Amino acid sequence: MNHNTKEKYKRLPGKSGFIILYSSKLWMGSDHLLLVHSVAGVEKYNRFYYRDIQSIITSKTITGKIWNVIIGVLLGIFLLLATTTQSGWSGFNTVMAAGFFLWLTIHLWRGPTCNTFLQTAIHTKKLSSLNRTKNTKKSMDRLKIVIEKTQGKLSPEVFKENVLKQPMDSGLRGTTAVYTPAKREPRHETGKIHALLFALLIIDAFFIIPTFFLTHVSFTIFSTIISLAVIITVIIALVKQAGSTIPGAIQKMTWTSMVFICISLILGYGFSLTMAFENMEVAYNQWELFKRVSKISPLDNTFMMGLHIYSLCGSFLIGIPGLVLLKHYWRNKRRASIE
Amino acid sequence: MISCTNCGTPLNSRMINTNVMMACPSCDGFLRADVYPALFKELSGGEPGETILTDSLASCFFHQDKKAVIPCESCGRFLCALCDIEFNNLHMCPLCLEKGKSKKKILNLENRRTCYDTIALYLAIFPMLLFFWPTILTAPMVVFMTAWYWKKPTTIVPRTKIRYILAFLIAALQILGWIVVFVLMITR
Repeated sequence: MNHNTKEKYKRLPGKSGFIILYSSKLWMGSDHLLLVHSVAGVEKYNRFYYRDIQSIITSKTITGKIWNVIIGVLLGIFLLLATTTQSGWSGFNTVMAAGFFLWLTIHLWRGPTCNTFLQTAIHTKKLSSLNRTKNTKKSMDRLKIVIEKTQGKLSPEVFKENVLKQPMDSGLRGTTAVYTPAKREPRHETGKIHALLFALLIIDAFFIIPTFFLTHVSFTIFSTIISLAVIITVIIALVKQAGSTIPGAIQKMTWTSMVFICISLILGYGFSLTMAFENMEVAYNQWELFKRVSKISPLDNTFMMGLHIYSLCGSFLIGIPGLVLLKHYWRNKRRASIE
Repeated sequence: MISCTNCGTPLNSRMINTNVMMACPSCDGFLRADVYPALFKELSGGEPGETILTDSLASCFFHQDKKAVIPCESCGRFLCALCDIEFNNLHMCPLCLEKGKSKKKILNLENRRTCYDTIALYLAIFPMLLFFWPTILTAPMVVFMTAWYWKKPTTIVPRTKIRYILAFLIAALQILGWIVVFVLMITR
């Protein structure tokens, strides 16, 4: 018994993931669509036979726009720093600005982002490789031809007729009643941890303001403690919001905070390394180094100024809208419970 | 029923199979819905297998009291309607199907593969980018992996041997570099 005849697959446009850690691609076979998930050299396959595919739905998301804003802000900061600083820092800031410019160009060229779902009678699968509208359109057009070749065409009139005939609770036998990727009931989440996260971000921003005029180790200690609390809170919030009733806008805000924190950490780490190299005599004494960093005023160090402005803007831009969204969420919930 | 993926509002017939993105009437989110006839197709429940009433009829290998309807195209065992599994336009018994999956004889049942060419390439590149010294160990490993797994199948989708070639070349250069380092150390 050997049915291992080589299937001829054709690659569909679109790819998701990070080059090394994870990637997801779609391939078209003779009678099925192959979804290939690759994690560090190990590939996992999902097959969707053309005869079983009920629908493919794609919807535009704002993720791309959020990323464009984040990259644009970073590009602006580094451009500003590159034009205001002298000596070695200017070169570093120019290189960073060029990097962010390249990233932004690639992002804009790839086009708006989207989420794509494929539905069969028994499951709904997110096609993560189809995450840009440009590629998704090309792939859906190509898939439409082969699926219609297998199943035939469904006109809107026939669709309307059949939908009217369908009972709402038709379940898995026949059609899926409601198009939702998750079959589980969403978990109820109060959003208290999200409120704490956004509040901590605002508090963090308030601790940054005095450092423009005063330099003291106590400010740095408080700021570090709050930053640590923010990191812990954002992780808990991300875990809690998964599969919960928290609205999409708040979930996106939490993810944005995560990205903001990651960038802050990377920049902060880069700054600490530079300081360690510049103060080699105390590089092995963490406390001494900490005290030296605390004594530097943002007015004397342009990179620190940029970092402070970034943290200040980011904390307020995420914290305040986050709290406003939460307030709306709580108000709506209260109204719903009264009704 | 097909609903908006953002707000869950059922989509009307004007929004399906338009080939362009349209705004959802409820949430204004742009979406495109391609719907196919399989949406209205009933799932078949499967045949239970017909019970034998006379001795002259052939019975199923797995169910002695059920009437055989087809032989397995792989092992030849007689199968009843319940045991007959149609796969890749072939009629097979559950045992052959299971054997085909475990021994990776049926390509369409494979759901996981290790791509040694990718691993070899990662092993050749990353130690070099992080700290160069681990290449003293990884470079011979890459050469060994390239030689050992060269003929083993990689992914099920079309792919050339370029990863193996690149990995081998990088590893060979790393080994050459280490030889130069050792020679210089000895001669000094």
